Amino acid sequence: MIKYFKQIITELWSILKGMKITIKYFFAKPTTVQYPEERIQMTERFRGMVKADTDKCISCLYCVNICPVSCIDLEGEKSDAPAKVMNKEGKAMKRIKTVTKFDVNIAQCIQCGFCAEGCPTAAIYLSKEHENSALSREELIKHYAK
Amino acid sequence: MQQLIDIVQKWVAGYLQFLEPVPIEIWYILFMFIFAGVVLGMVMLFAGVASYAERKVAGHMQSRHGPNRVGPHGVLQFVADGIKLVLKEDLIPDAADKILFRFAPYIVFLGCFAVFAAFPFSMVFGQSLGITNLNIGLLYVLAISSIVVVGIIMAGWASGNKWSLLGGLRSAAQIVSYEVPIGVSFLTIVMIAGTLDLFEITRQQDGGFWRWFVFRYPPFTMSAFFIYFVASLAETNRVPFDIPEAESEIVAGYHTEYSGMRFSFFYMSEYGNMLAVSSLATIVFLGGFQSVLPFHILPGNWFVIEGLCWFFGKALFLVFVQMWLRWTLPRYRVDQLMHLAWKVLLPFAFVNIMGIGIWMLI
Ligand code: SF4
Ligand code: SF4
Repeated sequence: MIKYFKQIITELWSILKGMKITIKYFFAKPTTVQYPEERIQMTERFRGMVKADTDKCISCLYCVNICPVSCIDLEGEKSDAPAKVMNKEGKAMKRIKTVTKFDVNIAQCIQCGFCAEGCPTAAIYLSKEHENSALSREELIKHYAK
Repeated sequence: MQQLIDIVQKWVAGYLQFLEPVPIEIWYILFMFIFAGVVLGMVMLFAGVASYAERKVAGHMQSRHGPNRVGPHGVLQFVADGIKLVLKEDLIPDAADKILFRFAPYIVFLGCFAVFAAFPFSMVFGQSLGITNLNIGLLYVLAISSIVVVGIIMAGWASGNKWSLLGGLRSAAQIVSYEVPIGVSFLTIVMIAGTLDLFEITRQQDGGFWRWFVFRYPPFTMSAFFIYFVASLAETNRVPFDIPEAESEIVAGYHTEYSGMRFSFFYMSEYGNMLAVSSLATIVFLGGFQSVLPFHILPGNWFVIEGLCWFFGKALFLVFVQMWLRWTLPRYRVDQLMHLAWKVLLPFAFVNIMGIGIWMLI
């Protein structure tokens, strides 16, 4: 008998406790972000869509070789007037080849970041962009060469 | 209603001489349709607004925003939903009992819609403002709201689907068991008031909130109110008593096979029922249209507006509490549900009756 009443009282008490919590959240500010209008700041190490700055690229093909899914398609040709570019350490180096084709298939890319890590001139990098949806496969192949 | 018809008849006779020979029966029928239309509009509008409010409440309780795309703050969401439901294809399964299948949603809706006929929403000229004033109002409300269960069983049976049938049966078991504590908890109030007339019950609670029946005989009537409120949650099949629907076991229960407009009737009757049980709790326990204060704010017959505000204020607060509970509590198991009805609520309801009886004797 005592157990019966005890159970009823504990049940009622726990319901009141639960109601207190829900009403607290009811008056609190919602934590969700209204996506298309508001966006959250991406963290520093966020790895988004691969992008390339072809002016810096020296066509060393490092990224092509290291890419685990082989989604970079790169072609270069010897240029008549070699330009100067800075490498990651800040040293100037000669740019003998210019890029004629720099396609990244972002549908295949796994955003591992290997290409960006190895690139001597930081020409290829992972941006913060993450809205990569498209209506066809062709649109997902990004052409960076001019 | 008789006085109202007399007034309108005189008014019309004054202006339109040729309409005078219209017999009183025709007026009665006309007024029936008008009143029914008003109540139907009220219930449907409430169902729409409540479905929006429910999602908004749910959203905020879960740290979300809730619907906010259609219209400012999403207030037109229910209109959009309504349009969608009306335009949807109306599917009837091959195995269904076609006639019963078509009929069931309307019976469920009727059960929640017809109870509004007996409610005194406010007071004018010392009369109740409502569709009608029955001297057995409470009994009528209890009886007519039981029709819901017939509709639910019909829906479950007619769908020709084992999940629907199970859902319908569960619902029937639940509603029938919870009607007993409801009836018994109302008995305490009937003992105090000495009448089943809802208007008379409300009038006895005049003069400040301490005159309301909840606070009149504190431990007993308060627990009667509590028992009624819990049982009414079960009556309306709402969480934590929503076992007639269970996605993981029996899909959507009795309305698994329903779509489009027929589904929306079930939906509307759920929200209509919420308002109905809250209004009944307001009338019987919380003083109906009576003010919280011992005096009226608006003078004379203007009290009708004040009364409406009090009535719907209290009823809508109870509706909010129902939503609040829904987003707080997990659901019951079937056996726990029965345990609560027969082993907790019913004994307490009987204790209330005895307590009130002894209190009134001494
Ligand atoms: S991030 Fe990885 S997968 Fe994507 S292009 Fe670079 S190396 Fe290839
Ligand atoms: S690793 Fe850098 S510099 Fe070398 S080809 Fe790739 S993008 Fe160009």
